[in-house]
Amino acid sequence: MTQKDILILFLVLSAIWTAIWFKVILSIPNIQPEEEVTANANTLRRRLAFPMIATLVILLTAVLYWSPYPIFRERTIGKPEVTVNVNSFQWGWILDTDTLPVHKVIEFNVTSRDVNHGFAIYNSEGRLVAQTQAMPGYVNKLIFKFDEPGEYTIRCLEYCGVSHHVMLATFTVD
Amino acid sequence: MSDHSIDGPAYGSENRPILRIALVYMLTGFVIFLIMGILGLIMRLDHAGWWVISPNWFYRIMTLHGAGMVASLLMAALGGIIAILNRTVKLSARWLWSAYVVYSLSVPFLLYAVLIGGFSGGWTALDPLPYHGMTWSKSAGVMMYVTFLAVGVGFLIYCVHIFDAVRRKAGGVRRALAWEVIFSRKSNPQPYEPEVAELAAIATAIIGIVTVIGGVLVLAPLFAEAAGLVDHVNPLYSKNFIMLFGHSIANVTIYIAVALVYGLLPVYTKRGGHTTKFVALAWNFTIILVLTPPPHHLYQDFAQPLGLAIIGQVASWSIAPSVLLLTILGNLSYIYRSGMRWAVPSVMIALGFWGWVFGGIGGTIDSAIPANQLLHNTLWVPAHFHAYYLLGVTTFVWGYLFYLISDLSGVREKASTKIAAWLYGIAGAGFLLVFFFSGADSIPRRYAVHLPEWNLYAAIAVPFVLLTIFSLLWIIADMIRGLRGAWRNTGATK
Repeated sequence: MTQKDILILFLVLSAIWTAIWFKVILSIPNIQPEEEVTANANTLRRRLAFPMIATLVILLTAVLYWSPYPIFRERTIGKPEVTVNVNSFQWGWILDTDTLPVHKVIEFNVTSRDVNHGFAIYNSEGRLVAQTQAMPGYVNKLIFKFDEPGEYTIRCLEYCGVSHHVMLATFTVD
Repeated sequence: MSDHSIDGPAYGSENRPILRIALVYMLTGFVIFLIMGILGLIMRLDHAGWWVISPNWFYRIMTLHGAGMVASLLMAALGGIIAILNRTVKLSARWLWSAYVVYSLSVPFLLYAVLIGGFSGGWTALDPLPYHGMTWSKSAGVMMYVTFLAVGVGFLIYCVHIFDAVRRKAGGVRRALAWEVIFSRKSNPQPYEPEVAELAAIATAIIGIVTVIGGVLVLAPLFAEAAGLVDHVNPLYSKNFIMLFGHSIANVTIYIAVALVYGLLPVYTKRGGHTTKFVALAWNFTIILVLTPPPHHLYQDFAQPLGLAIIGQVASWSIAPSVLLLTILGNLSYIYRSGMRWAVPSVMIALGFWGWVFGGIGGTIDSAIPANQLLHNTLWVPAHFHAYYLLGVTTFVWGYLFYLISDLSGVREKASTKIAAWLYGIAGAGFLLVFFFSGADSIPRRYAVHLPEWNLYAAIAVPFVLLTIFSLLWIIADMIRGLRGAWRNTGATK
């Protein structure tokens, strides 16, 4: 799943909703008694309730399985083979390496020594591929596998003060 | 006078002082909203590269914009509830003025923190940043939290009064929450049916009270830290409670705004206005559905107990069937084939339902944990809540304000103003779509400086923002004609 897939899903659902909305708006001049409309709405409500809730429950299971938490990532992409320690501060990143192997499962141990930061990895095309928060006093374990070699950029994605937008670092995957 | 239905608002002379308060709440919110809108435009001009401002000022403006918008729109929505509730419930002018004064103290506190103290830690003021801002003093951070306190205490005074007033009228909380309608029995052929506005008011007042308690649970230790009584507050704890407070106070605003629709829609459709079982269920669910999703703000804090993330996910997704099947479907059935009369308020209501669901689709997708991994803190997030606010809250609340002024003054709207209302919707939709596309392109939120390849998005957004302002000014030009008359017809009873 990429942002492009998400955007398409969003646009399709929005288009369906917009069509329904227009149908309602355009129906306004053709008056029907309130009782009939209410009865139809109640029928629709009963028919939609179960499928909608069932779909959400099924999707919920899938969503959890594909979530980025270590307990699930170890199952979906494998146990970590390389560990990288990441510390953050206002306003920079300290990684204990600047070169990472491609196709290996990597565990980033991310923390902060001052305020909250957001450890976000952008690929060479400028697309966000993974993230976790950097919180003082806690270590967040982000498990990720790079399938593409190249230069990656770390951006801070949790607002941390006036130089937040220049809190950058890079590393190479090969 | 504009026309009434039996279910629509009707204002008698006995409640003039309360109506004056309602107008003051709404107009205060409206004026601050307009100023904050200009600040929003400045940020997008900066993003487009057309009016570059220093990061220091960008983040100060961002802080003012966020705090000002959340607080002003909540205040305006609360004013609308006062006006509607006033028809059937005895309200105390003293309580409502007290809430207004305490709430309004947040304005000088915020201005002091940002303009004098240099605070630019964002409206969420996420601990530990306010006390470790590097470019502002700890006292400026404290002042930001005092701003929170003023809004929280003012809101609490309001909520406690509304809760008590509605409870008294109904003869108990359960009756006020329409439980006799939900759990109707044959032994009770005439269950107590509160007015929709009363039900909505007490439901949102309960949310408000819990929200403020959540705020106190984080503000108290943060003030203790500032006073040197504790070394520091656990950042995971403070983040959870700041998000509970911030999310709930923002999220409850749309439900308060929807309550105005229940009061207003019958005027134009001659339908609805009754507390049916579905309406009662919707408002009872609202209490849970506003207060349980905030853990979704911490999906990317992997140290957070997994159970809380799951609660956030389940709660966030529970909103979709509840709101769609109960509130949206219910209200659309009031509009569908109703012969609804088109006027500025009814156009705004129709736009508001579109915007609410549009933003809801974006929010529901983002609340899926794997999607959030790719969208969190990109511009997708402000896209989602700007949809709620710009084409949900503001259309409902300003639609109601427009109606109220017209109704109180007897000055009818100009037919052409409906064009302005539609333009507002088109402009808002364009502005929001650009935001969503920007988020899908991984552009971070809360960035003072955008990369050159990101400028185009903001450059497309700016004309839509200008069109929003233009359409709003057009609506104001019409609304202002009745303002003096509306003001005269409220206040002390003659």
